[in-house]
Amino acid sequence: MLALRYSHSNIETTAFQLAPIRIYSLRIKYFHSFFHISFSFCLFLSLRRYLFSQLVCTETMQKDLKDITGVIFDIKRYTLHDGPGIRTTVFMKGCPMRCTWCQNPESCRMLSETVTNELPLDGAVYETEEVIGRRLAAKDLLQEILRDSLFMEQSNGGVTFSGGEPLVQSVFLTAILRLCKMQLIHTAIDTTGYGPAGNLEAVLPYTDLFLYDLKLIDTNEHRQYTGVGNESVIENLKLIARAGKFTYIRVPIVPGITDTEKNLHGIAELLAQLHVAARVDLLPFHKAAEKKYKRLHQEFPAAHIEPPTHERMEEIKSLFESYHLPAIIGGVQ
Amino acid sequence: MTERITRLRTESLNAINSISDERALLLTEFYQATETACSIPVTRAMAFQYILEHKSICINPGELIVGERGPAIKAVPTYPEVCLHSLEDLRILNSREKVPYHVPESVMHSYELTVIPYWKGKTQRERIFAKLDDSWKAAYNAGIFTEFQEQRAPGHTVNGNKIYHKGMLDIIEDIRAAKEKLDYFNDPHALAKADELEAMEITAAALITFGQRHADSLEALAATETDVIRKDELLAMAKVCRRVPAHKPETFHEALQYYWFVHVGVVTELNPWDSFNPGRLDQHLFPFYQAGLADGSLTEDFARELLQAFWVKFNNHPAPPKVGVTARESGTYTDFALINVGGVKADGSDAVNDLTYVILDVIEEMRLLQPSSMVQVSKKNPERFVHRAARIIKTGFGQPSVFNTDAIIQQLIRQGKAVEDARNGGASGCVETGAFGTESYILTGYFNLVKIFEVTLHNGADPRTGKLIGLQTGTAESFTSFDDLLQAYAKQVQHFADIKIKGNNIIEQLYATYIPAPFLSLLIEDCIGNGTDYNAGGARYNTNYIQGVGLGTLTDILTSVKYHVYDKKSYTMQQILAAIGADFAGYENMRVDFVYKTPKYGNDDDYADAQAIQIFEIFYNAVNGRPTTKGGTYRINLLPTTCHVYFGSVTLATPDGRKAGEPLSEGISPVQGADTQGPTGVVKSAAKLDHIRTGGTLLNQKFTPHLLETEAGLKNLVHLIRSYFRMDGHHIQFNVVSAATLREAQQHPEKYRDLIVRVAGYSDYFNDLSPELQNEIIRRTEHGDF
Ligand code: SF4
Repeated sequence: MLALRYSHSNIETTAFQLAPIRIYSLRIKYFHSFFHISFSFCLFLSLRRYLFSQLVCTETMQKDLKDITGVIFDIKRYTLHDGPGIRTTVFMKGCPMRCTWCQNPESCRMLSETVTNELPLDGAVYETEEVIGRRLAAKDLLQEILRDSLFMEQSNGGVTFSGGEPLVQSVFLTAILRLCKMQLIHTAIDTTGYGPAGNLEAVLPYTDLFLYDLKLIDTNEHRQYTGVGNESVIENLKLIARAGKFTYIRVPIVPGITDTEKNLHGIAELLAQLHVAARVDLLPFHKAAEKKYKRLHQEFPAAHIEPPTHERMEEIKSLFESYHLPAIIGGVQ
Repeated sequence: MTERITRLRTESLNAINSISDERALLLTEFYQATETACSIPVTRAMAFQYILEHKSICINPGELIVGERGPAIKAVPTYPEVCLHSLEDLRILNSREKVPYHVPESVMHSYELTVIPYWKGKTQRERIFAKLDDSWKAAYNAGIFTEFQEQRAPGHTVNGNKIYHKGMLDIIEDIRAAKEKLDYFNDPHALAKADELEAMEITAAALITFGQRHADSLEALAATETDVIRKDELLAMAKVCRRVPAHKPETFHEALQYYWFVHVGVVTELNPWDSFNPGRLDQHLFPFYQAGLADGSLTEDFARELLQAFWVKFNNHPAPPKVGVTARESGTYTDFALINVGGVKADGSDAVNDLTYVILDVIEEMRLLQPSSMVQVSKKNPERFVHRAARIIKTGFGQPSVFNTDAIIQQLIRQGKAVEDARNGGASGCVETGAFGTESYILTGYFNLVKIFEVTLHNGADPRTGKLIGLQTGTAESFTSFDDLLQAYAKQVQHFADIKIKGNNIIEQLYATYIPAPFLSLLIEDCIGNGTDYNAGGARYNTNYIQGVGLGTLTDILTSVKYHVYDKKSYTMQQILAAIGADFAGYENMRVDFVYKTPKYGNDDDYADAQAIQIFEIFYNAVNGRPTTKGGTYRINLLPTTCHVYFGSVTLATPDGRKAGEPLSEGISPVQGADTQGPTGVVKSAAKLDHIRTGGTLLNQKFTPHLLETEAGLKNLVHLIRSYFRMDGHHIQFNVVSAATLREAQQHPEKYRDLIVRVAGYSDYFNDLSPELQNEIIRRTEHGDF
């Protein structure tokens, strides 16, 4: 399981960065085989988390954490839709899904890509090349995040890691989350939850809030519209539920795709069972990303879809509320 | 809003701004008829008395608070002893497209036949221009600086709480006591002081007469009034006017009416810049409010209605007309009365009270340009208060603006004020810090930081005219390092600050000598005790300000030059000068580099912000701490009113990509559109300046409405304000209108007659703004969608 976890998560990690992580993975392995027979799985998880944090938090490890690099494509300050308070949202590059309605097409690929930007000046338009995606070390990213630490402290805000799918770069993500926690910064991750459980387990102790996407409850439909099945998405959600983590569930409402009664009831039932959602954010589909697709010379696959009406959103809100799930349209109170 | 207030408000909004010759004629009549051997202060006091005894009493139907400066709503008097309008000026005022004043034919006549023949050659403006030297005039004409006092008297002060515990009769007692104390043996100025005190006494008595005349008129109206309710009201109002201003007020109504008489007195005596200002209204009125509620003589509803009636009175008073450069630096009807609420009490405790919230309701409901309003936010004030203010901000008419009480107190204490005086202070005008009731803080003129850099790049010459107006500090190509360039700039700033201050000192003395303000002196401590006029240094504290303009633009210019010429060496100085000379024609790619590919102020980018700090220091060192002729000190502040548009119009293209004639940045705000990191980036850049060493800075923050749609958005606005203030930021104001709305308003002004936007330190009707300013605001707003 662990081997699998690293081979999956380290798309971006170089051999040099792997070294310290191997050490702790071996130790965990050791504890794993020693304990798992005699203790319940839950206890095991919490213990492992405890040991994880204890083992890794040495001075030398900190130094190494700081040097781990990852790829991001944007940092937005004063974001309002990604958790409580004044937040900085870090957009990490790379996503295992290919959702038809994706609003961040530039996030999909791990590699940097060059796009053509148009700079308007006095009616004329000047073209310039922009590279989307930059690799930086966790310590440098931390500095960027800390720029707004005063505002975060004032507002009980913090940092949100979004994407793409931040878990794709789980080693980097874990590193930056831990550095943030050392600075007492509230952390959130905006994730699809897709991927091996280990990726999620690694970040669990350092994440205060999950913004967790649930798109389609039927795995075949999920595969059809996002390119991958949803088994790990649902399993990982259960993991979060067991850990009792504060979670907002985010459901994109895409007419004709995710807004069927069957799908919405399916999602609501699952959430009602799991008791995981502090809140359900219903995010209406919109077409703001059309321009982004153009810049990338791609077709917007959802160009033909119209945003849901306000009435429809209200209906869906009531649907979730009938399951005693507090739902919010748009995701900000 | 009651039916009465709705009507008064509508009447005020619909009234046409017009010029009245009443004051000019009365003044002329007085001087023509009076050959006195009296001193200048006494003569001016007698003139004041003559006007208040003879001007028409205007009581509008349904009014609760009475007293107009002119004979009717929005009828604006003129002040020929300060600035005499020529017939040509009057014609321009009547016909200009923006901020016109209707000039009736009768006014043209009386000006032609009476006012101009008498006053020509005797005005303060003529005295001033006769005394100023060529270097001053050259700099003034080039647009290096402006001069506030060439058409309007010094003012810039705010009422303290004196009038709420002293009637004019009590003040007369004080004056007499001061006279008694004059020391003719040791004080060589004793005689002058006696004259000044006598003048003060005349003006205090004149205001009492003015109050009594209103009482007479109200009683006369009551006698013929058929509506019994109104009849009772008129009689009650007459009673109020019999009591104040002669005696100290006992009720909420009397307190408001007293202030209003005082306000009319100040703006009748002279046309002080920033009219006059009740200042900490929630503090002054709260005892009356509380007592009235307790003994049942006042209800919350009536208090609200009285306040609303009071609000209408301010709106009835557009600024005295300005012409020429002065009209361009402050092109607005607003006369900058800025109501302060919140903050701390003299003992340092939280000052927010129940009346604070009532006043905030009034601000929101009245939605008027005047009076302008602000909230003082101290770390001691409750969250609910700031949140209430944020809700009004969200409605998008630019009020209230938000000030940092804790920073203001630090500024005042740094300047040497007693801590209680500092806590009783606040901000007036746009953003100017002052100790209310105790300080004369004169804004003397705007200072074009960008133009001075342009002159530096051209070795002391104004490239628009070729005239040498500055020092020859070397050609632009001769600076081998960025530091050399900055040093040359610092020398030029010093040079022009010297010219400006020399001019100020001359003007200040001319006012002290020829245009004393004995009535205003009654109100500001310690003019009576010192036996010295407000305009001659009688106030407890005296400060002169020079207001720097274009900090954001200049920061981007210097950053661009540092980045492209000295650090990256992507362009030579010669190339840049050529591009500027050509207004970027043929240099479009260079301009793209400047606009899009150069670090900019307002993004929390230290590379750029370092220049902002250096500019601040250069300006500060050239001005701060120098003595005034009134025994006070020069200080700086950073605000523009509308002067950034005028200053931009006299400045060629600049190396930040700005084209010739375009507006400069305003206050300490970033260049319009240059801030791409959102509001936290802006306030962090702005907070790198040392606000505590200024007397006010202005930060305009655009907010697209969607950022404030939700509760969470509103809360974050409050957090943003609090964070900025934790970093000692002085002031922040928000423009919450979408660019689409503004563009629509530009196309169809008729449909948006009530659209109020934040300009710079004040709000104004969008339709009253010049097209340049409209475009600038659209640009600024549009960009807010991050
Ligand atoms: S998971 Fe999110 S980022 Fe990834 S493709 Fe889907 S919508 Fe886009």
